[in-house]
Amino acid sequence: MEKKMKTKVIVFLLIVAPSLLFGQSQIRKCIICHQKPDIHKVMPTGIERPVYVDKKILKSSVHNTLKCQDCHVDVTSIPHQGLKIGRVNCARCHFNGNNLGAPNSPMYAQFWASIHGKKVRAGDPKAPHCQSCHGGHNVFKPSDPKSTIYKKNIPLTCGQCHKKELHDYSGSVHGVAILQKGILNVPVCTDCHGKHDLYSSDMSISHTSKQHVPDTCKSCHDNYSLMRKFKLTTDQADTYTQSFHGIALRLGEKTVANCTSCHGTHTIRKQDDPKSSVYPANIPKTCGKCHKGANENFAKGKIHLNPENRDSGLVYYISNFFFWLTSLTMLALFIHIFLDLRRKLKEKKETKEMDK
Amino acid sequence: MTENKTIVRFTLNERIQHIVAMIAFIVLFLTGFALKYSDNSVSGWLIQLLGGMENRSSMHYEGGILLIAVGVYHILYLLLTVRGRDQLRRLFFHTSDWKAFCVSFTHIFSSKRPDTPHGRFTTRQKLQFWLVMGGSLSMGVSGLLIWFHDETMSLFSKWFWDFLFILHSHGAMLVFLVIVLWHLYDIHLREAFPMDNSWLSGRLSLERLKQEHSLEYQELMAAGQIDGEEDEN
Repeated sequence: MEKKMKTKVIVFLLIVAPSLLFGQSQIRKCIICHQKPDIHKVMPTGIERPVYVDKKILKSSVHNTLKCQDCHVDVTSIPHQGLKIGRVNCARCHFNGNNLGAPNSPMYAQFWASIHGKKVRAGDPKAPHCQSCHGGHNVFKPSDPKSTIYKKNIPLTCGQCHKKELHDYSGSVHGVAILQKGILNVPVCTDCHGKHDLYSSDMSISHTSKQHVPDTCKSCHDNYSLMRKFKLTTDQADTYTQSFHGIALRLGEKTVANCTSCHGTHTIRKQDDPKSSVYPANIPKTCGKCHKGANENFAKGKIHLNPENRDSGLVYYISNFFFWLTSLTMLALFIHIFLDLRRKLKEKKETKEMDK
Repeated sequence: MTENKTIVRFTLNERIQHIVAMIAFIVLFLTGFALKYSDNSVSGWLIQLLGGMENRSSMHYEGGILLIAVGVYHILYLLLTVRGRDQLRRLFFHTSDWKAFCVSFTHIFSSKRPDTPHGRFTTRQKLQFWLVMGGSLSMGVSGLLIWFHDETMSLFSKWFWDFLFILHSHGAMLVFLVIVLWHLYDIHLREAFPMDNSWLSGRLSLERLKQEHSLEYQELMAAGQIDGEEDEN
């Protein structure tokens, strides 16, 4: 027993303790300077950048077991005046197939094909890197409300650069719901645009391309149980698909309206909101974008009309009338032709027998 | 020896009208139902074959113009020419048609078609004529209004346009049933399988004239037109 105990103590002293102490001492050493709130560095361009590190946040982040140098590999000496210290390269651990404890996912590669990744590769200084969205020392799981990519925080994260879009979104029905009412079932930026698979709307593979917009909206608006929570129906999705606009778009027409052509994108509001593009008084202007001469008569009647729905009034009854008229006509003609053919075959048989 | 002899039932002008209407109907049905049943993979394939939605629309419009043109020509033909007026007079329903219609129901399960005497047009032919004319008229008017959708919606309203669309879409099916199911079977296939070619030759044998249009046969006999002017086949 004593021997075993001894070996354990030796192993602890020789291997575990130094690594723990070293790790701790690394952070401890760095933090001596970097915990000062006003610490900053001067970039080669002359711009001052804060390099303050909140130890508490770092210790509660997903990277709490890492040492400073695990990420900041080019900081090789303290102090580091004169050293060229670049941006942290997350891909050292975050690549698909890693065994370093980082989650394995194909999305790391997706980023480089995305519009952001392309701009980074092209050397655009404004293009976002991993840490622009996920944070530097404050990386938390997406489900953690402290995370910059927690659902409710995503609009603010994207809005750091996309200021106009954030402003428009904040007033929209989706934005008000999540930002003011805290309803998490509504779409934020990434739900429509994608996360790492984010492309320019001009590209056909984009979730927000002309052809893909209906599918993107349908991912929620075709979900009956979700829509019922908001006292909405899935009729809008169905009727669009069956409408001329929907059919033409599906069959490759590029000039027809999709959801956003009428409802807007970041500015989507309820139909009874006077600021909404589909508010009855605004219909002439909205339809008029494509249909010259659109006037207030365009708003008389339902746009997302489902003839099979009783709410459609007269159209429902006319449609039903035609359904029965057509069915009965078809039935009558089939019976007529069947009986007539039978009669004709009989006649033929009789004349043959008479000939014999 | 009447079985070898034929009479001219349709003039060349009438046959050309029929062929033009037929072409227009085929184009309209194909391009129209491709939209109505666009969920169907055949429709998708057909639309791609026609060169996309925009071409489908223009072909449908062209078919519509053709049908309206031949329709207007036909109405003028019926009203302004001597033969047309004579044909039109014979196309109206009479009490004998009502009787024939009722008799057809009492004989519905009998082994022979009732021997109701018919004139130039049988009751079924008259009915088909008026159904196709009425159907084409409503399809033409609603089609034009749908074509000029912006003007229609500005002048009337969105719900009126929805009504027109339903009328056009369902009406097409009814016209299709009358033409393809009934007319094609009853007029083109029934008496002469695989096809009665009077719509191309314009001729009908005296034997069939006597059987199917006995009153016209008697009329022509009395006028002395059959024995004197009939052609050898």
